[in-house]
Amino acid sequence: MVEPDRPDHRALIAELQSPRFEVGVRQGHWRIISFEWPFLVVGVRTRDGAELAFRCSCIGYPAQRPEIGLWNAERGCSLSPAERPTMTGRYSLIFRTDWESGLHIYHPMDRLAFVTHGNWLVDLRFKLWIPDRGFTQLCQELHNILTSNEYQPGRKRAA
Amino acid sequence: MAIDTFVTSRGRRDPIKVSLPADFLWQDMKRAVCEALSEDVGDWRFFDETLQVPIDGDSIPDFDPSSVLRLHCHPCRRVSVTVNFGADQVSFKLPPVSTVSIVLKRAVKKLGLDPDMDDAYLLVLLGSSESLPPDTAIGSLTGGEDCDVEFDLVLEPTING
Repeated sequence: MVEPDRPDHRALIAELQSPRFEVGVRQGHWRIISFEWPFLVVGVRTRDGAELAFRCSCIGYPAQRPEIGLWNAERGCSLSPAERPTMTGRYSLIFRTDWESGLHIYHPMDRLAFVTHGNWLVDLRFKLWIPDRGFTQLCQELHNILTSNEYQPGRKRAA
Repeated sequence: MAIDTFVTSRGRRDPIKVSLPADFLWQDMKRAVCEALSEDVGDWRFFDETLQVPIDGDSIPDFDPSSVLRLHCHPCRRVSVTVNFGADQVSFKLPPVSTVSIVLKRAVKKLGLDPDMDDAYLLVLLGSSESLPPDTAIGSLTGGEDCDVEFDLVLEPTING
């Protein structure tokens, strides 16, 4: 497969090869499951040692935040509602299925979620995408969420 | 077999990667870090970020070669930490390898907040809106010749419409 020669692709490759991304991989916090431009599928370790996969469309990276959705990496499709973990508290809506058919996470680092919620620029200013922090910032945020007490293990999951 | 080490330092949150032979000597590590940082860290203190302990002597104690070696180096023995929460302010000193998570727990306790609710809060650098990863060594947040860092403690927002 011919790799595209475009700045967003090059920037993403550089981030995935950076020590700050690698250290998370080496600690078992996240890993690359597959990468076929513009879709990067990452697996993120959860509080109970399971793994959740996210498919991220990275066109325009890093100036544009990715589009992020829960993913079933075995079947190559969006993770079904029955397979999604339950979240409580501050993140109870993050994996909601009643918004955009559940194809995007409900978080300001997702491009569609952000552009459709103008109030988040202020209300969720501590959770915004920072281009300089790159894709690693997203993996750190997802890992923090999935290892918090608000992640409730128990549902069937597939990565 | 090489040992890959990830090193953060004063003012450097993003680690550098240093690869050395498995039988490396401590002076090899210091030399490699000096070269990578373009800075003379010969007199700086080194800490194991995972174990949160200073490294004394000539070797890294109890290092498991199958695990990830994460080091932090800093010229200061202690970092002065100030945390603002509304009109309240608390200050204390911690080793530079201490993480943002440790600062948050200490601040919640000193401010008299419910320690069981410490995950309801975030620490952001004074004047910033970036929430910091909990495993960030505070020494990496100090800049220049300073050995102090100031945070705002804020309630982590709930994501809703």
